[in-house]
Amino acid sequence: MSILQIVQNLTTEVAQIAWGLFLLAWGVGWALRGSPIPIFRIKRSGQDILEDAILAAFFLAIGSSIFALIQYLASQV
Amino acid sequence: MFSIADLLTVAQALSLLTYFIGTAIYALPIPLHGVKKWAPRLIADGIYSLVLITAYTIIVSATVELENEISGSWGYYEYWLQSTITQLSMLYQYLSLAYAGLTSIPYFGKIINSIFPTWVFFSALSLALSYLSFLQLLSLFIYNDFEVLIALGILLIALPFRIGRVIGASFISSAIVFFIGLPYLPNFLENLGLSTGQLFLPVSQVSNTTVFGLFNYMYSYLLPQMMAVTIFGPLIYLTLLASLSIGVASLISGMGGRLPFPIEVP
Repeated sequence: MSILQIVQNLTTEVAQIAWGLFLLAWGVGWALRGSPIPIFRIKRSGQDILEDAILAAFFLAIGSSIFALIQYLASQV
Repeated sequence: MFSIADLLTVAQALSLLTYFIGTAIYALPIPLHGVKKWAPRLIADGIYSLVLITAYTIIVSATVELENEISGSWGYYEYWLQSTITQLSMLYQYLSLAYAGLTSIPYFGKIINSIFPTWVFFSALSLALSYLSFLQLLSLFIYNDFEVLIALGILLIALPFRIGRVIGASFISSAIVFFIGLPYLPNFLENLGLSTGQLFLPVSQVSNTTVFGLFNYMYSYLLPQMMAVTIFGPLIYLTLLASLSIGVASLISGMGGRLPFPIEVP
């Protein structure tokens, strides 16, 4: 297996793990935010996790599009 | 040995990996700022290294274009280096022959050695030759491999977690700066008033004087002039190029830079 294949396989695995982590963070975030605990800091950390998870999902979704766009722009120069 | 296309393909895969590691860290359900701060960094690094990869041909062609516009030609520079080395090694041979001849005269060698430390001259001459050979090696390396150096630098920058960011940027910047700047070295030395032609001109004026006159000429004129032309002058110029290269490296990496090869006399 060449270095290129290793890196590409690793990238696919990392992307899958990232999607899994997003689902987990989505669940954990909502659970903390909606938990019936009157401690504001815990609810706030749930909110932070949710915000980050949404950003992560956004960047995961547009990742390949960004890369294709940059390559398209570079080929036009 | 990897080709440039291979290096850039691996770099592209690595920049994707960096990007996705960034998103994975973003998605981590851990509210730790120390870990989370890496996420936007890694995403930006992935995009930045991809921009560098796509700009590779632009960087290389701009470097070659600038070299044509600013500096002299590489052909003349290599000819200058080779001819200086040849002149110095001929001087070394002549002087060692003359020294052997003079010291074969009974008691004369001892007198000469007690007045003039001849080993100083010979060691300075071989130091100058070594430095010029090192310069030749460095020039050959830069001239032949500057494209590989740039591609390798981009690959190092594409590594995740900014592992090779500083050294990668240093590879790129030193390849660019030295490729453009090195051929200007002979002109720089001439502007300083240090040309290799001056070294051997006054020999004809002293050839008909005494042996002591010749030794005086060697120690008071030839030795300082030779050190200036072959070591101090190039060293000043290389230090200038190195400073420029470190500046460009910190521009590329945003984290400072260093020189990936030595330029000082060890």
